[in-house]
Amino acid sequence: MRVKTIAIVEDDPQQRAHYAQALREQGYRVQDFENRERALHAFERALPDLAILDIILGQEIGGGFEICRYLQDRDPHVPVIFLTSRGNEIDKIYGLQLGAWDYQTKPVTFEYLLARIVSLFRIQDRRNRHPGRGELRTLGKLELDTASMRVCWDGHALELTPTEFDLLNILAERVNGASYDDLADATKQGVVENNTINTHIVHLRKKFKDVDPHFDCIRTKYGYGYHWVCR
Amino acid sequence: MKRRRWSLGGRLLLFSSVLLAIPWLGYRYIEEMKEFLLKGQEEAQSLAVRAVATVLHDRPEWFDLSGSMDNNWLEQNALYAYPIKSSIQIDGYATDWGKVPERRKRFGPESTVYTRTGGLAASVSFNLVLGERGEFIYGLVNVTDSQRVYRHPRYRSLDRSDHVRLSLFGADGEIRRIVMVTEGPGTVSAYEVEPNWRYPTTGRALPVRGEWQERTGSYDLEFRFPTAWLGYPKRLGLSVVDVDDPDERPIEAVVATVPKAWSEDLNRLIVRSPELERIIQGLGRSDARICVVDRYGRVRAVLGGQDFAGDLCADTDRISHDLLQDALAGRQNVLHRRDVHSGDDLIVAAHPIYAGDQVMGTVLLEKNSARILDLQRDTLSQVALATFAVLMLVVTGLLLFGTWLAFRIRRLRREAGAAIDTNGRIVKGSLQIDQAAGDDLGDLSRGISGLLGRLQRYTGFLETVPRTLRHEILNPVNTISMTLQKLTQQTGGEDSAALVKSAQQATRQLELIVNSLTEAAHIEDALKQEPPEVFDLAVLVREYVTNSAQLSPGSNLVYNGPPAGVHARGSDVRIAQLLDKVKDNALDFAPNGSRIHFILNQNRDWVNLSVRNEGPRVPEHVLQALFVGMASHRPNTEGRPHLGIGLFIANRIAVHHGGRLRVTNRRDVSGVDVTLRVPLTTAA
Repeated sequence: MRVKTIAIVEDDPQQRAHYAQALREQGYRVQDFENRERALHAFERALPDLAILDIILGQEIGGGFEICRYLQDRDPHVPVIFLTSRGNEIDKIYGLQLGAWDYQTKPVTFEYLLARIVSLFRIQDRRNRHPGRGELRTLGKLELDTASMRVCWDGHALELTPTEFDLLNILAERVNGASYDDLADATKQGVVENNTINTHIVHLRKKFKDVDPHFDCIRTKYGYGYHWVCR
Repeated sequence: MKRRRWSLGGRLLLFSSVLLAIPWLGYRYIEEMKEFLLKGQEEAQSLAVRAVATVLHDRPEWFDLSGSMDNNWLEQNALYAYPIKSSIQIDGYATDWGKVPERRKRFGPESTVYTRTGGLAASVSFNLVLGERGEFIYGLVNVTDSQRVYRHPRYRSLDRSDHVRLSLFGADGEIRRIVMVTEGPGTVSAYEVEPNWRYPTTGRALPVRGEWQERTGSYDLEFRFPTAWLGYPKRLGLSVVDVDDPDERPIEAVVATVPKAWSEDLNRLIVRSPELERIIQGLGRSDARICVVDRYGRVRAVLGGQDFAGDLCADTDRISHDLLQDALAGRQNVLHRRDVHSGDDLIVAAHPIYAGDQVMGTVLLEKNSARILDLQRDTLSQVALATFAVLMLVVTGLLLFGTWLAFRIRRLRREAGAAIDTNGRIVKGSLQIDQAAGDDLGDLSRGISGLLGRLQRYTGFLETVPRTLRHEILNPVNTISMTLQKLTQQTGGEDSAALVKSAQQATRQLELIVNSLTEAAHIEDALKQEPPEVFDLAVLVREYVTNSAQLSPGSNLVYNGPPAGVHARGSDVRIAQLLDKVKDNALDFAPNGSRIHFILNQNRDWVNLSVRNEGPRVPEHVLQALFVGMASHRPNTEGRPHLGIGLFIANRIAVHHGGRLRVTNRRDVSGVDVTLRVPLTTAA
């Protein structure tokens, strides 16, 4: 199997070196860049298999977005992980509809980042090859394939980010509803505010409503969390 | 782009210039008033003149006109005796006649009755003017005669010298012939003569006074005779006889007031009618002149009008005027004319006088309208003066007011500017100036004051951040550094896993701090991005209380309120977030085992949600600062950092929902009541 190339664009040299070294230890080939210019220059020659982008690059507030847009133009299948230091940037990531794969709020533990990278490569592989059959969960119209991270609602395939997939998975799992703590754990991120969960749920609902306008299975359980009611 | 600067005072002045329209309006009003008054006077004059005319209707005898209405030459060329105002000295000089001599008539070749040679060119011509005063008719004749021949006593015949003949219808209806002759300049003698004009009927001279004065190439004769000599109707003829040859003394020429064709007849003599004047006497006034003219336009009576020198019928024998033409044609008329002497405006009204269906004459009523115009002038000047004074007053007032306002605004601007120093730091949290003023500037001052206060609290919050953060961050950092130190040393029996766990916990604590700071900083932006929707607040709170109780079994949460049906508009998860903050706060203060009440009620427009807990009261001075942020007053609790941001965020959410959050100390027991108040909405 070919060695995967991971590009890291991060303006903080200490963090960049830290991530690069850790990923190399995991057997990946790593290219690291300190700004947009250098990254794009390298991408002209060859695209990476996955890109980890910091949104703020030095003086460029939206530098990460620019790189993402470039990558999407070249090849929409290249997975992108945004590293954000601000929670409210999540909305921008969705708002720009750059087809971002996922994001991680800083500080990111290497453990979680690696898990993300692995699952993204898995999704990419699934797209490239025939989907393998993993553990399949069926809840009414909902079909969840945890192995290939595939989701179907009423026969329609949904494109979810890994975080969204994890949230949906825990919702489907908890019969009495998932608490904010459960959901926060499921995102495999550090400290997760309830609002971040709320934002994810809003986007998750929207993706369901895009294929089924009458979708109403995720109910808010005030003071607790969310509840998947279609069982 | 440079903007033109308009001061308040300048604008006020500009707007106040509209006031300049007032004098113009006043002027228009006065003009209208004048028109109205003049119209009124015209009406009054018309009525008065009609009344006079009515009195004079059907009394033809007062006009002593000849019976026929034909415009014969005699009527047209009647002699007119002008009324003379001053007494006349019969001295051959015209100086005491006033202006009357200007009215003299000239009789020349066309009036020649006889020439010795039979030609038309007579050797003589004359000017004649007649006057009447008292009981006498006065005459002034100026004869142009190059060769004077006076009477010589040698001749008995009276026609052997230059002389003047008078013929008149006497009171007995007979023609009387009078010759005025003299032996030299001086008093003349008058004789009644036979029809051949040669010999006197009696030897006695008549009581006709006359004076003869020589001039170069001419002579003047002034005379008078009693009016009583004249019969009815009054008729008078005058002729001048010229004799040039002092030896033979034949009559060279006779020139008369009646031309040859009518030489058998006499001129009509028109004298003002005392009867008429007596009748209308009561109507005359000094500012109004009544004037009666006959149908030939000859003035027959004049009364009043001493105040003005109107020359319509004074000092004249006849009037030729459009007005008169109209009146004589049987139409009543009014016109305005200007007195040529005084420049006054006069109003003339005319009305015809009838005898049967014939127009006998016209009554004219001439009145000076100067009084109205004077009134107008006076009023105009008064209005102008008053308006000017008022304008000045208003403009001055506006200017003062504008200056005062501008001064206050500048003062306020100075104070507001001084409240923030050059670095943007708030020096003063409130203004002193105009705080009590009840006007807009007072509002502005109070508004700025409130603004500064809020800004000061916010600045205070910002200034507190580093201090609070330092305190909160130092703890976990300390833990991490200690842990790292121990890890490097690896001495003692401490489990490295436990150390790592403690370091991780400290890191987590740091993350929490940073997250809540981020949340507070971006709460406004986040709220704006969320589309509002209608949700059931009762369901939300009820479920929230149930779920929270389920999540933390130790707490004692109670919901008091309707099970459903209280709708609000906004974001349900945000309200839940607000409840999280308020609940956490309540839990931190409430003693163990005490109840926390969630009380929901609604009135017509609002929903009130109170969260009540027992516990320590909040000091009054702290109540104000509770929502500012970084104002934590809770006892130190384990594990969680306390940045005092919870209520700050909760308040922002409440404000975003169009409501507010209020913290009050409970009255019944020691405790705190946090009340959320949001507008009620009808269900979607």
